[in-house]
Amino acid sequence: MLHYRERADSFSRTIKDLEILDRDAHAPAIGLLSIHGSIALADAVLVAVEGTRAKGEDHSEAARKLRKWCSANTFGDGGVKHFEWLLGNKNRFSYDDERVDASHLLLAKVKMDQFFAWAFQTFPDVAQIREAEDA
Amino acid sequence: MRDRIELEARDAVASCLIRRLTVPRIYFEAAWPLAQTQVDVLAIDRDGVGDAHVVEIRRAASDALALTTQLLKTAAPFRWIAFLRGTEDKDTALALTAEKGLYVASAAGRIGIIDLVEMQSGLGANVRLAAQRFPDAVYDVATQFSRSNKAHIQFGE
Repeated sequence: MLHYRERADSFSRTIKDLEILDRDAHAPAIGLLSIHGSIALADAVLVAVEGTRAKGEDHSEAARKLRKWCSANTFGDGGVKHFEWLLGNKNRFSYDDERVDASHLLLAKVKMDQFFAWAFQTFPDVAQIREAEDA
Repeated sequence: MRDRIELEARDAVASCLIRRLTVPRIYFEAAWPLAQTQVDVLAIDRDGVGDAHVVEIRRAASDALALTTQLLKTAAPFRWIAFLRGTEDKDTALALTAEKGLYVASAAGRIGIIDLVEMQSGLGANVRLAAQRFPDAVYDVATQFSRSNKAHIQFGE
């Protein structure tokens, strides 16, 4: 679980570095990192609650599993819609022939933050596993 | 009465911590239950359920350094002092270089240092010395605090 969360943290911190360097210039990278950071955190959550992450290239199984787990355990699933938005834009941000507007790419960062906040609130064990010794 | 720089620095310190943490909740003038007095800035990582970061801000380095004794008694995994860069007198500069007062020799953890920098666009804040984790497992206190106090800055829905 820690491995997946560390991957999510790494993507999240890299986004912040890119924002400082030049947010608009790096918008395509920020969009993609937001998606992959969220996939990594979803993997961390699923490993924590089910012992295994979702399989499948489109990652939509991960979103379905999160919704199913929340429903079965009467937890709110409000954050999953942000994750689904990100997954729904993965191919567009990665491979589409048409240019994607920077504002849309940067919206991915907002969606990632919303998904992260929901995930940490709903699964505090994922938030509280031991971190680095330095802040 | 607080110095204008010290009040302005709260936002700069918050931005500095937001860059390092993951969707933290930020509180100004926070009544952190494990501190003897209000703390200038409290950041609770991971939307209020993660590690607590306590920051005390003073204009002058010597005033900030004087707070470390109190800060060492404050339970929080990460603790910081912040002051305006260039305000160090000779003794304070030597003490900071030697990390005097920033840790207890017999225990883990070190108080971190945040530099406040006056720029044309306003006040900025950068980490000079990273805080090291104190062995305080206070997730329950942090979670309870974030649930019962409205954050000044928070992410999420």
